Amino acid sequence: MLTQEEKWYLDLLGYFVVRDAVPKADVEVMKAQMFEWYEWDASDFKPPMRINAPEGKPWWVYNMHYGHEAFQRLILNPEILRVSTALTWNYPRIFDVVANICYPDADGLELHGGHKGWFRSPHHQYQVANDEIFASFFNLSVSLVDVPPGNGFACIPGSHKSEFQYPEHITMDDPPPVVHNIPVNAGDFIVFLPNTRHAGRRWHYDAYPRMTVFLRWVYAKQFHHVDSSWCLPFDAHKDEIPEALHELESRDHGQRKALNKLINPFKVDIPE
Amino acid sequence: MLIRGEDSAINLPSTLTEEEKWHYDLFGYLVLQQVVSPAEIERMLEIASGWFADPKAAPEPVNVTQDEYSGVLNNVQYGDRIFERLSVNEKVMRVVMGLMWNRPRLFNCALVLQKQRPIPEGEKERLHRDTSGFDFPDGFYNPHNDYQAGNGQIYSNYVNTAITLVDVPKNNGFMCIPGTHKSLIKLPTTLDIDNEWAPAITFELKAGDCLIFSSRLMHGAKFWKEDYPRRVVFNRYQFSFYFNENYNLPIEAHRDRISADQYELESVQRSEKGFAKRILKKLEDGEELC
Repeated sequence: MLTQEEKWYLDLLGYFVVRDAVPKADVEVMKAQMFEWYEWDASDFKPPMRINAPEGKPWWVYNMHYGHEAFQRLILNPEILRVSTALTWNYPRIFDVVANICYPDADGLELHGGHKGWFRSPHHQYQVANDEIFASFFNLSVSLVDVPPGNGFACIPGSHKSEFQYPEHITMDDPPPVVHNIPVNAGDFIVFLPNTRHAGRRWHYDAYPRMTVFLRWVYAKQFHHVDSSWCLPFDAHKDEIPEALHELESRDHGQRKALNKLINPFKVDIPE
Repeated sequence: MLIRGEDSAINLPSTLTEEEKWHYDLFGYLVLQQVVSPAEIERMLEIASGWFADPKAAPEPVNVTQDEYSGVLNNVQYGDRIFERLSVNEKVMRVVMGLMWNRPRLFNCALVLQKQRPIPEGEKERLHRDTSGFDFPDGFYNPHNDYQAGNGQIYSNYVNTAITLVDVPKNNGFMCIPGTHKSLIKLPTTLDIDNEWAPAITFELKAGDCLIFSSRLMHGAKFWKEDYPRRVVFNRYQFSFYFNENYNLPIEAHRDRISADQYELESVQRSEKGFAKRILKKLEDGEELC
């Protein structure tokens, strides 16, 4: 379940922050592992892990939970399961696991997404009824480092409900109230809707790089890009992760026994 | 086949720019800069000060109420034509018309004075929505306080304008939580003005600037911290045709104190009003609004 404040804030702005969700010890383990992977060549990674290291851009690594169990614990973190279970009305499915490292020489990621009226993608549902929210697709970014103000995640608040085209001159570096920049600490996570126009500001901090894990979620009963070889689940590697996590990666067709034990406490009451 | 009247609102060209529509839809307010000249502001302050100092000097039906730290001049537009020119200010009306299909009706006009005052410990600023005196239960909203967007148009049938007559530094004066005109979730009972879940903002304004906001927007006033009093003129407009929930305007007994435009602005009417047609013509001809 979500708190009333979380629901109110998400509906108002298209995002909210959960503080101190991830144990510090795990944050440090993940950070250390990320730095180690950063030194590897692409060929050093065993599938389904892979990297993308374009010049002048952030460094990206995919499917880290097949490479280190700290990332498995992260996806199954109770606070993360609480939020994902509530927003999907008890049917969360993780469909994308990716992390990046951003040094100051990497470009920021300009504003993208954002609703502008007209019809909404059926894969991007956002509904509110009887004081409850249903979101069929959302993103959850976990920071592994303290993000100073002016850096990191930025968005146009409320743009998930916008009915008009955004002006092109607005950039991710514009000041509030038009653009929000959300400082977070290591172990915090931001939940945001894909229809919230959002960005990643260039990292301007020399002491350490920005390091973020992005977990994208969908409603487990809906169809998705299941034919993509890059999308979860990876049945050939299912023995490398906990059963509950494999169930969380999979579409729901009544098989979710291990997962249900974890998410039962967070389920919301929904009408039959 | 259904037949629509010629004044069907559906095909009205909007008097708002695309960016204004986007901004108002997203945040529930717009700021217009310098809609009134400094000379007019100076004269309005002078008149208002005189009426606050000597309420008997205020002509009927201007109603003066005040205490040590605040004051209100109700129906101020009947006191002097200079205040009426705020209600029918063309730069402001262009936006108000764009928000309610070119059919605004003024139903309330007041000059508000707010002074710095001692704040008792624990007292906090509060936010509200304009409810017309009746709070609808959660899950519903007052149809007199509607907000819709569709087909590239906005229908916001209850709009408030606040023209400041003094400079307003940040952290003073009007405050609001942007986007709350479209909130669909119940306000948490724990929410307080200094709470991280209440992202309220204030505005740095110059005398003559105008804030236009949806009455569904959660708004209020910060404690005034300046040595000079805040003075602001609020004009409230509603869609002209559907209803008349506030019966005091126009004041027939004092009709001679306002212009024909102002009388029409205050009246319930279905069709486009004369001043609205004039503004639309000016826009069409590319003439500057005044």
